Amino acid sequence: MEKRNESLTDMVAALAEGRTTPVELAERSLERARQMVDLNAFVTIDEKIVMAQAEAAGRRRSRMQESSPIDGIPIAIKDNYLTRDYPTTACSDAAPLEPSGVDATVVANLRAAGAVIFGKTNMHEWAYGATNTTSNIGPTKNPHNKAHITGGSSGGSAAAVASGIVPAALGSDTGGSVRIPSSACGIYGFKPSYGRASRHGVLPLSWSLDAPGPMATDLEDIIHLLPYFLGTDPKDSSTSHAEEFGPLPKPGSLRLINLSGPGLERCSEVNFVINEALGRSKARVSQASLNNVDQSFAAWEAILHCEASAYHQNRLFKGSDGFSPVTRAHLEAGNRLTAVELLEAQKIRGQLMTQLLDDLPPWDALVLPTLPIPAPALGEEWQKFSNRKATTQDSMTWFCWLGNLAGLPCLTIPVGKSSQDMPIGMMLMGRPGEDEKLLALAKEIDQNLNRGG
Amino acid sequence: MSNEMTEDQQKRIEATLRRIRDGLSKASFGQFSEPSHIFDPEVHNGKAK
Repeated sequence: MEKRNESLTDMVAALAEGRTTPVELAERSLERARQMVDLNAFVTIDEKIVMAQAEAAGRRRSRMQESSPIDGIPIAIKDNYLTRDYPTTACSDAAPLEPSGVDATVVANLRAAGAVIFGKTNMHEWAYGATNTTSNIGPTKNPHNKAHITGGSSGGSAAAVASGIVPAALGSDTGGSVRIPSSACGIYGFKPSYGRASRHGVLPLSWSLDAPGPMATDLEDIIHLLPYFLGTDPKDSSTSHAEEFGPLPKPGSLRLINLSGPGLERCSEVNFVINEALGRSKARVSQASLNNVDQSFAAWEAILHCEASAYHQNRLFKGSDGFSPVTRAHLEAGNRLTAVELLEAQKIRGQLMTQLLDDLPPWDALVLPTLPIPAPALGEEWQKFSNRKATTQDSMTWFCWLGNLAGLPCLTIPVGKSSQDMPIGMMLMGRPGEDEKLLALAKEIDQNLNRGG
Repeated sequence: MSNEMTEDQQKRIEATLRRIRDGLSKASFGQFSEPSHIFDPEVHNGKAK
């Protein structure tokens, strides 16, 4: 795993220079997927569909009529994005099993750009969990150590990228589901600001927390892909004021606030790697803690369960046999919360946003580890770190939910390895709507950390 | 289809609700604090110190 896999950016260059073809890339990805089948990263791959897309891309390129720089590059899709030629299952027996005939907006944008829609990836059932161990096709295994989980809920996408099957994949993020598996598998993952990326055609978990996002081998890959995510989509009213992805601003100050304190505990190994990375980042780093983290977490959880239960009311009413027992229990918990409790949660959400965005000293990015621990072994139900004992599920979302509750753009970048050789990621969170500024800053930091800048 | 919850499911539901309600009950609000039902995070951008 030490040698870096070929990135989407590498493939863009190789295709432009005629050093490879879309058919070669597709064949290589299919071969790699066959070799890596034990990761259980994919729900569906149809070789005929993949090769037909690659051959069409090859014909466009041979006529010098490529649709975009990514024309012919294979990209995997989390199985909660509707795709016109593959079924969408959300890895649940409670989901429709037939192809919908419709592409999610992000998939349609990528398809119009010529990307090869490679296959549908394994995920935590309905994205309603962060371990990727609850799936109707079984858990996904971590490419760095197959005895460990990938995290989730976009675990199949992370495994597909980290193992070099595809250079990039799509995920969705409600409490960290892009960032958690990206960190656990040692790749880059980006959650856009709420309201900048179209959720249309991505099966919802929680409307006001969900965001679709790219997962990739390299930070430049993320930058290549964001134009297909960001901007107004008439099919998603949350994007009514969304700006298209713009050029990255020149990085200005690198004022980071390293958040820690009660509710933000992490194991000593992760803490050491993050602090060491911050030391190398050439950024100006100050420290701060947050008040009432447990209250804000309760608010996130209340909103999550209420919105998910509301979305699934019809399925629950008709019959709940298709849901796994754990997912059904989450949905029933949402049913039992009251409207007053939901509104109180929304008040706490407002308080958190004020605390992060108005009350802290000036900052360009907030920093946390993406995960408080490296990816746990499969089958471990509990984790202990610092003075805390938490379920593996809660350990995975430990920090990431903050970005969803406040609607911030968030990025995880790989910054080191644990003593057991498992990846450790660092999360950067930007101001809402300022996705490009966060990426410009992250590029500078990534250069210093991962490219000997 | 069975609508009955197993004991394990009941325990999970109760634990989830207890945790949420414990957290919510600790919050204190000013008389003008309002739910963020109009969710527009960018309004905070102009308020940076």
